[in-house]
Amino acid sequence: MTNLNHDSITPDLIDRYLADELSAEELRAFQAIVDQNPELNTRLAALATVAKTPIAQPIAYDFDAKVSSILSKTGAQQESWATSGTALGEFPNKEFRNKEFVNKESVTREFSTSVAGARWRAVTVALVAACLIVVSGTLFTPFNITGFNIGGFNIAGSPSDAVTLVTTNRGERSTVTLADGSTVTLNVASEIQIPHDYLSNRTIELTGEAYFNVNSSAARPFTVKTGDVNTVVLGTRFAVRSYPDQEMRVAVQTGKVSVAGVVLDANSAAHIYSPDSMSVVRNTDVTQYTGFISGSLYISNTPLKNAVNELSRWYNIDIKLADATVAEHLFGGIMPGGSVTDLAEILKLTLPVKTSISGNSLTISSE
Amino acid sequence: MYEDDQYIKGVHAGDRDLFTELVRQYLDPLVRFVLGIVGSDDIAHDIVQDVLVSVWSKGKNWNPKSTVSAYLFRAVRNRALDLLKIDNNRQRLEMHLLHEMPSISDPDTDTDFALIDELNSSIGNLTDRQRQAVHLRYYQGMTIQEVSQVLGIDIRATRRLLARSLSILQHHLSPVPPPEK
Repeated sequence: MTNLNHDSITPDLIDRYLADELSAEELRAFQAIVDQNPELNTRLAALATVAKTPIAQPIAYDFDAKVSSILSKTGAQQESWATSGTALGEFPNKEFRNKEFVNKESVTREFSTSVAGARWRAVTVALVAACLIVVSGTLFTPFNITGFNIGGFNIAGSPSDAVTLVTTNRGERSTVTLADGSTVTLNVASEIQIPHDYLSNRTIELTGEAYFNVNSSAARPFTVKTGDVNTVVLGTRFAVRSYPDQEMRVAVQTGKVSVAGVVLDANSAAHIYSPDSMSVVRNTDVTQYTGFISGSLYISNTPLKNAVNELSRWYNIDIKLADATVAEHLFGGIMPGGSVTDLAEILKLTLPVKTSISGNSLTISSE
Repeated sequence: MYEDDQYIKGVHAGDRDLFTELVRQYLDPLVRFVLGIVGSDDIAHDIVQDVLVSVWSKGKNWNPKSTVSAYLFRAVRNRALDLLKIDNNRQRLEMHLLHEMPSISDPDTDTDFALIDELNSSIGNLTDRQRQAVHLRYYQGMTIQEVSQVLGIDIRATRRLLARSLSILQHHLSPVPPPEK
């Protein structure tokens, strides 16, 4: 027999563990027993994975169209739901929440507001309606998986590790499947930390950029931590970017979220410049934010100096701008994955510049 | 996301915003669950649509005796089972389902292939009812009581069903080699 036989681990305990119903104290005691027994640990992880697998995966469908179709059968209209979302997290300042910066005409509007008296805690993005569409086939071969976490327990790495790290270097992207079937696609030069007890604590720390396809579970919220900012969802597809040298972005592909009380529905994105300044774009093509998962980097027209860091990460190369004129050339487009020579070609074709490659460095100078 | 009593009051009062929110919250989870029973996406969507529309049409007469979640899952399950009875093709569908077990993970990702195969095949050893119970409890996050209400059995039977399911799943996972020192 291969059951999880241990004096202190009863079927009831396993059931409540899998259902996330153990109290913090019980969980600690449970974890202590499991940690001492590597085989038990692995078996329990496997059991957790299989028990939490959805009974079936629907074929991709248009969530909003289905909702509209159901509402049309009831005579209900959809006009006002977008403003009735509730955030899971509290935002400390009502003024901030009520600021009108919802813009229906696909225009970006900046706003700034001071949050007097209340420390700006976090932008909380709460999913109001869950939608998940099956991703079939991984988009990229995983690269540097320095540890892999299944079922909330470390398979690789010592049991005492508090987190499992998954990292990508410059020029590398990677997709990992988490214990509950959710997937994370890491963009270049990024890192996620998966906690030891992922299944009871779905909190991922992100540095860099990643696209999340979250399995819905009303009972277990999914949180992405990026510095001060938490993004909390229950199940949807969205991308979060948080590199130190660029403004943070949250782009929603399916489902509906509210950022600090402002509802972001599908095909919307928020640019967060600082705790008290953000802009919202609606009815936009979010491919420009999520393009990296299919191998394309979108750069909107910007002086070359602003695109250098992003290009460096994407092509895994150090980029030097030889003079001030070069730095100001406007550059934009959809960059394919590929080698540095591809990048050099694109630059020469679109800008009046010449390039030279030596070692791991690309120098761009005036023609 | 609202509390149950807000949703119920909303439907009683004919509040379309609240009802829309209810639809958006439950549409996808219900489709996933019922798809596991009927095996056809079109039929699953039809069943879920019928049930949600019927909630709205009940208006003031909608009085779920359980949580809203348990009510909706029970309603779609009953409708699915009725449909299977009517069509008298339950066996055919079960055969169909055996060939379309859910996949644990994307096969291309860097995970333990042997383990995943094993997990997939261990799910196949569960009966329909066991799979539904496991899904509702551990994937959907329901309480034992809610699961019992959805499946129409008492709480003790639900506990036994879950314990039995977990034991079958474990039994079909082969022993793990001892860790290397």
